[in-house]
Amino acid sequence: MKRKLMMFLSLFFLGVGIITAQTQVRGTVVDETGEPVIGATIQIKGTTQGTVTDVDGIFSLTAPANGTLVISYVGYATQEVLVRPNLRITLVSDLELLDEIVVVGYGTTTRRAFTGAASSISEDVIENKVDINPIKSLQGTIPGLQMSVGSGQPGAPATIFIRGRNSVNSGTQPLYVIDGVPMETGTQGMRSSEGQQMSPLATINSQDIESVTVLKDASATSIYGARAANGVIVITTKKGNKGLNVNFTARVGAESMPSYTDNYKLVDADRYRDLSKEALLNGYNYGPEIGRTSYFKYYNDGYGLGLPYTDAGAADYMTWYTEIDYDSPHNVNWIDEVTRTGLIQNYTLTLNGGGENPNSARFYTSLDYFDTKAIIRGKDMKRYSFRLNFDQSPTEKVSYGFNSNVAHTVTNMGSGGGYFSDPITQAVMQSPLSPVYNEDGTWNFNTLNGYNPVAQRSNLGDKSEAKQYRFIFSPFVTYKFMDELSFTSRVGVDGYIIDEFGTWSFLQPQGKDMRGLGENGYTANFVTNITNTLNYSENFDGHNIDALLGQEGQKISYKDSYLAGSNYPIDYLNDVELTATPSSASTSRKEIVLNSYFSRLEYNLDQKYYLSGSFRMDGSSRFSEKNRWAPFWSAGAKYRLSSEEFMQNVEWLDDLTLRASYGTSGNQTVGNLDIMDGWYASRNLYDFGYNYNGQPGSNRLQIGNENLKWERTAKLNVGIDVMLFEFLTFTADYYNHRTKDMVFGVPLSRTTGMSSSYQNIGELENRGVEFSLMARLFNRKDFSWNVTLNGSHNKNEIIKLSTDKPLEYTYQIVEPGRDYYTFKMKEWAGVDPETGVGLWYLDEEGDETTKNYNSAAKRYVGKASPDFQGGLTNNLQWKGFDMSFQFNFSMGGKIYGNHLRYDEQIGNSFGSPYTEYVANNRWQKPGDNAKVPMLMFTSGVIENSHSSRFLMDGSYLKFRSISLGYSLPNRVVKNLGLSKTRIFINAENIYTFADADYRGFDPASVTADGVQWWNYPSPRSFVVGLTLGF
Amino acid sequence: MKRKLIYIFSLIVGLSTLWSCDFDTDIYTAIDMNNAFGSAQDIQNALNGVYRNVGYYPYRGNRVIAIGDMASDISEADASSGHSVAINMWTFSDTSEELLDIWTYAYKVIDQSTRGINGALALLASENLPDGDDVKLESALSQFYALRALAYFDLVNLFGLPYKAGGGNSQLGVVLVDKEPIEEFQEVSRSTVEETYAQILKDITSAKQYGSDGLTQYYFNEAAIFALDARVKLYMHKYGEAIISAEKAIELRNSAGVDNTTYLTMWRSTAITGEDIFTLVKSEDDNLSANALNTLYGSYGGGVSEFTKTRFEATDIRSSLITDDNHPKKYDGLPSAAAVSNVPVFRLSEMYLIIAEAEAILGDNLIAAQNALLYTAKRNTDITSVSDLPSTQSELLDFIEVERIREFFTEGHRFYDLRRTGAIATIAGDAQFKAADFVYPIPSAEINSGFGVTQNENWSANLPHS
Repeated sequence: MKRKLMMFLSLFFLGVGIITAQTQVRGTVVDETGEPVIGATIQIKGTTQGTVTDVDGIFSLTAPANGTLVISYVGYATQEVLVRPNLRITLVSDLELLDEIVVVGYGTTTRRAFTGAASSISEDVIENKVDINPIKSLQGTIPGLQMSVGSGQPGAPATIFIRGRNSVNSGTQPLYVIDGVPMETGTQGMRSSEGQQMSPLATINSQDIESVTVLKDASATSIYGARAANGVIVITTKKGNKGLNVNFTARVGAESMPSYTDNYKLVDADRYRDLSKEALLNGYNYGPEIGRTSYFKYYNDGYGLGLPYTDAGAADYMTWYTEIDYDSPHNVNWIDEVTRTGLIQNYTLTLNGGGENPNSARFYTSLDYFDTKAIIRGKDMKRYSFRLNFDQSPTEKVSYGFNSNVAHTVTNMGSGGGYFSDPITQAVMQSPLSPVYNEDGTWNFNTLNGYNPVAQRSNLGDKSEAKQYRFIFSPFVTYKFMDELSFTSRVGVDGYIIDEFGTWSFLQPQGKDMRGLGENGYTANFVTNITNTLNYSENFDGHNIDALLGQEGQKISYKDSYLAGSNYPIDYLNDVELTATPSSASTSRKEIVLNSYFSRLEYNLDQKYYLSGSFRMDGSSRFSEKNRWAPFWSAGAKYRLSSEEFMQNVEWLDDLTLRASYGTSGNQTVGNLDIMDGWYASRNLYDFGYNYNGQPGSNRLQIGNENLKWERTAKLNVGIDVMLFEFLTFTADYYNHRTKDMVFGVPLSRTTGMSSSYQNIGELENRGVEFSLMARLFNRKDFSWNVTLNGSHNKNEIIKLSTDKPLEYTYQIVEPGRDYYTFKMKEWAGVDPETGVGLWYLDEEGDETTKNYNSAAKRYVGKASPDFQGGLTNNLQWKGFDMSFQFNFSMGGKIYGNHLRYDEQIGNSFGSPYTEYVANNRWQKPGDNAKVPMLMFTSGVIENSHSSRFLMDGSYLKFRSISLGYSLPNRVVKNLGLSKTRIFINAENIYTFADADYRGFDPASVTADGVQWWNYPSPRSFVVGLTLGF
Repeated sequence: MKRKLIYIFSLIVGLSTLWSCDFDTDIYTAIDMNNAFGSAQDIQNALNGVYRNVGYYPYRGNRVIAIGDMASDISEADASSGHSVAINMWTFSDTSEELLDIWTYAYKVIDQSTRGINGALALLASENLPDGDDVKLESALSQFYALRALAYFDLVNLFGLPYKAGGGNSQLGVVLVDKEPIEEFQEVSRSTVEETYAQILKDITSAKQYGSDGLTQYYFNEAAIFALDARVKLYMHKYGEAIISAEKAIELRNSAGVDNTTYLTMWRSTAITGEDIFTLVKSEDDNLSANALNTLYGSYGGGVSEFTKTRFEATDIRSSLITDDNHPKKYDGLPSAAAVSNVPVFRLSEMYLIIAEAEAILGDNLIAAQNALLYTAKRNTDITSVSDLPSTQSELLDFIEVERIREFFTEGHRFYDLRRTGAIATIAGDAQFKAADFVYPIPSAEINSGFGVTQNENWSANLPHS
């Protein structure tokens, strides 16, 4: 009977199989926390049929009874399950899984197969950051990436060194590739070389970014050949999915001055009066002893003022000298006056969708408005951006699509006339006794130097407005000749236009002198790019082969124009048209062409042994025909020990992989792109514009070198990847990047009439280690907690320049055997306790000191590059709450406070304010062991000349960001007719721990050379937001 | 399958050559160096380029002039501005920007002049020279030589110890370029001061050789060549020759000078006045803006010293060129553009003062010295005739030293005068400073380039207070 039944059943099932072979499947897809996953794709394996989950994570479809379903969702590991009527599928985040997709040059691969060194961050990291420039979210999250942001100006660029500065005279910035197309990211604009810069990357909406991958070693970068020596940053934007997903995110918040050390705060009016008097009386009392002339006495006698050398006399003298009333009732903190509470608003609408049918079109589109009113008066930025990404595979053979982005930004930057008239610079120069306004409400210009930075930033004040227009359009088409072989052609057009307008207004002395100056600049930069690749992929008997063959052409065309005039009839209209005196008109055009052929071969056996190699030829118009083409190559290998038989018993070891790669990459960005040599480096040129008395003039421009060729960086990388106990992931790399044939502007004897000539003569090395450690501390249904720690150490060393002689500057030196950013200056030996004057070390070595600044020798006093830096990130989730916070740190670098020569004046610019550091550490009487010399208004105050008195430890620990979110439970959301609701708070730049003797706004807001000026500090920001999904 | 692969491959390789871009990029604003001196207009362009560099801020537009005053007792820099402060406080070093600027731009002038001279000579020697070009080319030649002489003179005044009377000056001078420009990577060496002066005189002679008729005072005209000759001879302590050249310059300039009213107002105009022998002209579209002397003495807060201010009698009209708060009014610019002022190179007054000083030193004809001196001294309205002037040789010389301060303050003379005369002055608080013992260091960038220029050893031993 039993057997009969079996037979019957078998026949029945067979019959069903033959007749229908289908079964109705109903299932739920949830994530690790048990929350439903909306929009997960369910596909019947081997077919194009499938569906997506609804807002409850539920799906139903009819599938072959013996079939397999493939469940996938972005950010989760794809799963395959056998067909059953009822399914509950828990997707596991693929955050640290080996099958994580790694974006590499001209394609993707999996973490498992990747032989190179790369790090990436995903959209949630980027989305949680407030800055308008999305690239800043890389700070502290990528091991081996050093980011320097010199200005808190909204949209300001960041200088990025991947594994250290790699060149002296060539480009140092990584190549940016967005959706497969290399993009223009250099700063441009009429006052770019004076530091008024905005980053082209700030035209990209961070909400559009799916991932950012930083490629570091030869295996990862050599495929980009001539542009890859400084590393490659690959940005991938979001793509369309099935169904329709509408998200709206609103963020509103405030920005304020960051917390900064009291050392750098200015003293109040009472203390200012006292210290000023002290400087006067010290000068009078001690001046003769120390061989300096008291100016108090000098002018008192010279002008017959007849003032007594007492407190009262000093007070009267101050009024006479500064022409600002000593008894002024004002107590103005000019920093407070030029700053304000900033405002951030950001609204983003994204639509993401496509038909159910795999052949139907998919799209992702977004509209974004970002408005940031900065903490410094008159500075702000607005951005409008639109993106449309589209793709479709109408047949199995063909797929096509495009990525497009249109952005418009309006940035109000510093004031006209460079750093001196910048509001922060001026704020620290003004007396607390001079008010912002006169009693009648008009602007007060009776200040120490005639500037009133608040007036200058007012409506009728200086303007410096830059409008950026950017459009990126990159269509692509792929044709599959057969399963193994496909061809992709991709075109990229990147149009970048800057329209700038600036005025030096009537409300600042230089502008007033010429009744205002107006200027208009227009810059247009077009990059066109075409890439064609042929992909071949085959798997057999455990052998997996991927091959790529490609060709690329790129042309950059640049044009700018500038005009300026002065002498306006009225102060409230300032189009250049209105000026009476034209003062400048110029245009320039430049071009560069790059052609390339490349190939890559990847092979692995049983996902245990991996080999990869690449080869590329690049040809650039920058070089003469003799040296136009250069080859670049790489070889990489990887060995997954944990896949070996003998390792199978080690249960706690989930993955153990060794990686090694070696290869070369190049640097074609020779010279300075602001001038001709950056475009036509090898040519011997003579140019014009050196006019005299209205007649045209000419001069030599540059010495050509037809032998000039590519700079090449040989990169060695050895790495290890370990995963233990399913919760601990560790990755470490050692690297040695050696730049050879380094293009170096060999200093010439100036008697040739020229300063330097580019030669391939130098060598430079960066070697270091970097690691990242990630632990999934908790991973329960209701609670998860991940911690990621990353750190890196880099040693930069110049190996060879043209001669053994260094390039020496007033306080810096570039010299073989040392870090590129080495400081060499007279070393401060403190304050002489007896006399209160400064001491410097006399010789290059030894303890002997001198009071004679001129006779002190220069010494090596450190370097700006940090020894060790990194970050710590925590991600927590509890029920509907999510939280993440991040710390950054940097150790061992020094900062030279160039501005402190002025800000820490001790009487040398009498009348100027004093900082708390000066007030609290000054010498007051014989025997004092002070850090700051005696305050003295005398001749010969040389203590504020360049010396290590202003050199500081640049180490810091920064509580960089925290974000806290709450997602409403799905049933609540569903009742509201929504698919997703999250409210969140983001805060950034919360607190910085710096060295006790640090003076400045922020040791993390200093340019890579470690030279601190009156940097516009990065603000502290606080934003609340809401995301609604429809 | 194999054949299909080959087809696809060939097709794509074929297409890729079409997709590649053409390497011949255009260049729009520069030309090949080899095409730079092909016509008289090219030579004229090159000459204008030299003038521009002479008048540019790294050279005579600011630096050389600023040092003349800021390194002496004439002017004081405002420490809070950072401009000229290291020069003024004597805290500069061999890496200081000001010194490198001058060294670099003076040699740009020398190099370009040498190339211009060679270019012009080659064109003159060519057979099919268009009519009239020879006059233009000769005029250009004269100016190139004169400008080059001026550049050597400025360099040796900063980087060589002063010329000692009687010759045999074996102290280090500067690198000389005579016939051929110095090519890159060529070894060079410093000449002696004697040789440098010989080159200067040789260039002046060459400048005189070629006609330069019809040039305005914006250019290195013939009178200016003699003015330079007079100044050089004065520095060489060849007083008789200095007098002859100064007189020739006055004769060629053929001007009665300016009256007191014009003297006070001429600084606010770029028009030529009777005072000008050679002035570097500036205009609104060619101003030095923040790098102008106007800005140094304007928004950057530089001013004249109390010492300078107290050198004037109340009746001296020139004192009204200094405001109550020590602002000099020689670089206040045009009414419409405050950064636009000419930078004088040679004024008529200097020629008279050279004659006065040279005659006074020679001592044979003190009346001639007084007569010449009266030209400027009468700007003190109390002085109307030679009888109001000192009459003994030493009194006259003392008077002339101060008269030069009154006449040339902020025009960049004093520091070089102190070196020339060996006078002691109070500099950077050192009342015993002797500028004649001091020489600026050669910029470290030149030394470190390693092409043979040697440093002024022990330059720092003669700084103030040492």
